[in-house]
Amino acid sequence: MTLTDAFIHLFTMKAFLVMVSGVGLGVLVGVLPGITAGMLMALTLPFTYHMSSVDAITLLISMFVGGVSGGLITATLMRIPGEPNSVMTCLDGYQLAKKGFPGRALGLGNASSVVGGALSWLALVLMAPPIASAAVALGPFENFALIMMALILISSLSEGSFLKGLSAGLLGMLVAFPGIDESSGIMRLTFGSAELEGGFNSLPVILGMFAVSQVVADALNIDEKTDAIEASMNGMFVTLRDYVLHGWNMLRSSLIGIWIGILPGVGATIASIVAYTTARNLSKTPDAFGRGSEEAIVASESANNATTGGTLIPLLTLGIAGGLTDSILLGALVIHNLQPGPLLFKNNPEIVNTIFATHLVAHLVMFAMMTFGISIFARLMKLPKAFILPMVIVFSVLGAFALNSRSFDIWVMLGFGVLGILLEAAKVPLAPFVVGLVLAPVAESELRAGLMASAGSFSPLVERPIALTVLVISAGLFVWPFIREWRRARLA
Amino acid sequence: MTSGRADAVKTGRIQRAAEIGYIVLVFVVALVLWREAGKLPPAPYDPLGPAAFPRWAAYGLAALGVAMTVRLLLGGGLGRAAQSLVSGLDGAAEHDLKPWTAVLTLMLALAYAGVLSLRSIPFVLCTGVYLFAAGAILGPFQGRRLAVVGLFAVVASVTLELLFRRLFSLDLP
Repeated sequence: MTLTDAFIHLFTMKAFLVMVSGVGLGVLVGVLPGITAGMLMALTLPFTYHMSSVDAITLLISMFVGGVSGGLITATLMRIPGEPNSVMTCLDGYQLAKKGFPGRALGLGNASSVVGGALSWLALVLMAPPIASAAVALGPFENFALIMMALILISSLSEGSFLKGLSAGLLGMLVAFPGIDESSGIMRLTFGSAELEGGFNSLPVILGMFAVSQVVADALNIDEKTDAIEASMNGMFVTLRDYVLHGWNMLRSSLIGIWIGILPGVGATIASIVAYTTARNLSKTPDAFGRGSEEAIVASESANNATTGGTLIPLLTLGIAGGLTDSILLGALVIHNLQPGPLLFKNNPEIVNTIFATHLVAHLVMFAMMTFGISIFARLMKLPKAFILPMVIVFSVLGAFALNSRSFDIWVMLGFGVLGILLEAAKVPLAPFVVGLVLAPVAESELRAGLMASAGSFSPLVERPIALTVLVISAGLFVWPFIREWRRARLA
Repeated sequence: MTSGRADAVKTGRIQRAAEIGYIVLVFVVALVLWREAGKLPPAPYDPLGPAAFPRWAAYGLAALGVAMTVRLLLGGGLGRAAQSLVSGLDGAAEHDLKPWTAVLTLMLALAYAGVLSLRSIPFVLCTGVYLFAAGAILGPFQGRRLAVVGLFAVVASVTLELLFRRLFSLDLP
């Protein structure tokens, strides 16, 4: 299937319905209090077992795109970031809406989202294939070094908590160890439990960490009050003049979003903060920021949507998930027997092209949906949490059970939900935990395959230039947080 | 001492207690992992064997545990996650928090899972009761609201049963 075929396939009845459902659900969870796009994707993943790989990937990518965009509505009308990445939109979107221009705020945000998404699609399509071609030359030692680098990078970016981040990554890795060792067939770390012989499935673990933890956190904050503004269609349609006026800001913020999306572990929230800050620093009216500035809304929304394409580049080409939603996408590919990385381009071009095509068309569908369905979505955001939160638990239970029809997975999910709450309460970053969980089996199998080929010698790790370079970078990333802190202490 | 300062001191103490708890967890996990890895036999054709990664992870965790302990003993904090993946647990809320509602929500979820695991009570009944109970505690106990929650519980549980068992032919717990 070529890229053109993938676009044509998307417009067949079934694929189009899958995509529209995915975008619609993604936008919806951005609007509904207490549910995030990551949670939706985790909840949906077990049910994609029964779908073809192409349909499953179409659905998940559509949810990914819709979820990043949906937060705009609650950010603008309720001053609540429906998704964490809309946090900067809250500052100015709500103020502009409060001044009597909710349609204008939503319209600008929506237009910026689609521009950011389209530019990141271009980056994805142009950059991913050459990177994948170059990455085919990588052997198991290079792949192992890359995974280690991803883990250290995501931990080192846990500002101020590098030690916690790294230990969380190791704790996540060890969750992947129990069960039958693939290379030797030896049972390990099962503690005599027959249930553990199959190991922990990553899905109930992710569901627990995402969904159960968030439901409990939402119950804790059940009394949170908001001042909602009524949605209005006035000003929803952005003119060509607006695109010209804000064009440079859209382009700059999108490039920031794409670049930050490529970096593992940083994510859309940081992208919108960096783009917002850059826009304010370069603005002729910086004082307007925080008081309903159009520039601010454009910067924040262009950047967070632009991360979607950037994030997919390392995921597809190197099999490196940089964040939580990426980890779920990575898990989805693995569940459908697809190995992300350079060989995906060679062995499963239909999947790669489906991802490319869906990424772009889902942004256009999202744009149309947000433009014409804004009043419906705005009504849904007032749904009481008393209905939503218990339903999330029911879907989590069903999702965990649906994997292997065993109650053990439900308990695993709830157990990791409790662990997630405790780790969050201790301010331990969860992203390295999930990345460790997903990447540990790949890291182990790559290193063991390499060692079997080298008769047990580790020397290729330092003899092969790419592996050595990646290890040197990893070492640099490892020591950097300590140097940074030492310098700060000296300056203080 | 002002109330704001007292709150900050209290939050600092809780944070420190949580950090100590986390370090203890790291050490315990490292110890268990190291012991269990030591029991694993070597693999005949694999230079690394099944014990290597768990053992390395145990050493790594122990080293990080020592580093975190030293930091705490020297008076430094362990920092905090820059981005929280679960929102609402950062203690920065302007509204009243409802810890008992959170605990009850979790208990109800555990009870729901427990009853479903028995597989002796029908899914639809179990889910209906759970949705009603969980919905009831997440708001004021008012007759009209409880009636709406009850109606929602009935409709939602029957719909889920029809959708998943009858339409998608999925095995439900």
